[in-house]
Amino acid sequence: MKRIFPGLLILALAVALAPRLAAQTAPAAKADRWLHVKVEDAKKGETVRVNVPLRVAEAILPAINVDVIKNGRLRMEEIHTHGVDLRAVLEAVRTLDDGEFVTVESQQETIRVSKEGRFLLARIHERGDQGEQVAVKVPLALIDALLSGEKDELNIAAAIRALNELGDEVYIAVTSPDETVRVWVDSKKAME
Amino acid sequence: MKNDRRQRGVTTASALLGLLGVSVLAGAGVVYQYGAVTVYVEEKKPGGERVRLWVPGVLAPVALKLVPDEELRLPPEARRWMPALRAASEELERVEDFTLVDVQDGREHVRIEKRDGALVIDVVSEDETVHVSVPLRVVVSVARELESASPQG
Repeated sequence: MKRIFPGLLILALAVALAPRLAAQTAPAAKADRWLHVKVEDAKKGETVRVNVPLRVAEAILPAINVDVIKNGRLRMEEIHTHGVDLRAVLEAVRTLDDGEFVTVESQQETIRVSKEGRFLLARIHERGDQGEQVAVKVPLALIDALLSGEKDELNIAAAIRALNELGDEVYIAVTSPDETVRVWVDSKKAME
Repeated sequence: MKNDRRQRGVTTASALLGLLGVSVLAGAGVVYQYGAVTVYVEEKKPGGERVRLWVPGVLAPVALKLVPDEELRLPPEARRWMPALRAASEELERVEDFTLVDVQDGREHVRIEKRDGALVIDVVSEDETVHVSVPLRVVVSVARELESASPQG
């Protein structure tokens, strides 16, 4: 009987620790890519930092089945675009040559939308000391991914996958005297 | 004859003790694997309350198994989010430790982290300190239980 005890002991330890050991000895996976959001409000002295591993976003999307999003796809009929056919606009943009194709100049601001290489760029420049500067950079690969679903939907899951494949990039930057907002993707889990 | 019986009795007792020890060890291993749900709240005022809670995570899915199915039924709106909660927790378990959200202003610091297999929420403000840690494995089990409970109505 005494001889059985060490065996049982080892068995119990093995049962208890097996999952952890398996996790530790698993082969190293591809480095994670991270979506970062940083909002700094100098007026309120507030800083918000959000870090999301893209693979977590990718895993969640197919599991969401609500009215607007189903299986990682956003149904166009559920979003209000004030009569604008968002999908048609994106498809049109994709086929455009490089250049600036929207310029709006007013006393308050200048808005420019252009296509440069692999990116669609939108820049808003508000005049005055308190004016806000906005720069939005949308990779065309992201647009392709969004449009890869059926006609009446945007494929958000494919867009996340596309973001995962693209290089490090700042996608949204908003700067004003009071507030800065940055949205970017890179391979670092923490912000600088 | 008497000696034989005594010998057998001692052997049986030893075997039972051994099994008990092994069971305790295996049980401790399971508790260690699941981690513990911990809650700590401290009010920062004279005579303020201090609450500490430590519950082995393995108890959560066990407790849910004991709750009648009709009590576990979530409203459809909430139930629809359970697969997403489960998927998120399962995937978070596989990701290295990181800070998910960090909000800081002059009066309050809120931090949500994935740390050592748990989702950890820390709030430090002028009025109180709150620390909550929930093992992701527990979240997965609970979400799975709530997801599988037959829908309301």
